[in-house]
Amino acid sequence: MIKKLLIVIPAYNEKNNLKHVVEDITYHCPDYDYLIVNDGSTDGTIEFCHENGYNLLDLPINLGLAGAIQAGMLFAYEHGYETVMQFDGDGQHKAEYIDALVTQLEKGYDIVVGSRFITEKKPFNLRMIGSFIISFAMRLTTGFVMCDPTSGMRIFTRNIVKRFALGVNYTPEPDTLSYLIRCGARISEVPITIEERISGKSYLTLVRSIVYMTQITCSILLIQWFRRRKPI
Amino acid sequence: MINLTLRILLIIGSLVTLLYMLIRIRISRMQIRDSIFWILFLLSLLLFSVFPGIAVWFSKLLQIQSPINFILLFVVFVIIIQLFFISMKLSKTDSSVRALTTRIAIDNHSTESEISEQSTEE
Repeated sequence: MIKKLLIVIPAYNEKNNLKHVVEDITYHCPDYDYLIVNDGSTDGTIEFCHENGYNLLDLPINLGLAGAIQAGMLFAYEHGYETVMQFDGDGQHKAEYIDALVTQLEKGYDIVVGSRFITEKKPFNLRMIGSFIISFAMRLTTGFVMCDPTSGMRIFTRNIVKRFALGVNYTPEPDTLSYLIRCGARISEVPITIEERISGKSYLTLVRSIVYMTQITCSILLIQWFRRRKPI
Repeated sequence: MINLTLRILLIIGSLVTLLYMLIRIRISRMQIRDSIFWILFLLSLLLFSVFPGIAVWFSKLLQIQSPINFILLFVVFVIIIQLFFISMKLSKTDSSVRALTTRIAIDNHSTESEISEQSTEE
């Protein structure tokens, strides 16, 4: 039985979406704790969270998604949380699926990912080509078939949380999942659906997407061979 | 054509450097993002030495007399680009350190004055 779950919500300039996200979580899962990690926002997210009494971890400078997640993981680790869920602050993820991921994790997995494409087919656009390439690279190097490697809704057990909190190269990206599979982590996917962004713009522009894709693919195909494996 | 001695030297040189860096990356906990550049760079050097035809083709295209000059140009260019990015990153790190240090100093000051206020009240 899982005692404590912390839902980590990284937020960079998501003031307009946070209310919806937090209400969604407190409505569907009032028993779980959540933590908003403000990644140096400039749109008054801090004041907004204080006004509404949200549980906030405030980073004084912008670190990027990886830094925000690491901060949340460290918080969870030091406060003794058994499991941590990564949940987007932009309103794309639905809290109604949290329990499905938790239930699946209780079956003995180390990581459970909310996948958009288990039941549905991938739409054909640029981002999905990226997703397909990453899937393929993962399959090639680990033999594990992942429908939605880039999904940002994931739940981790404490031993994985520890790695994210204290390690150097544990970014919340598919190459880390690939590395963890090679270390012996058991990963599972459960079907979810997501909503379109409520407000604001996505961080991923075309150029950034291409740079991101290249980095992740290189990392999965090249670097992972040389990383020292720490068995789970 | 690149002569054989030089080719062998290039192959050995890039292989040894590649191996050395891979070992360093493995033990020094370098960030993956930063190590990708070095691995790709050394692989491209290895490619040039194993298949000198690539350098010959490019040097003909750019009307460079000797293919080794093309390799030199390539290396210098890539290093300049990398230097620029490192400079940018360092600059960012520098301002982050400054922002963090001032943040800590201000936070310490306010906690200290809170403590002294409490002690005078008592």
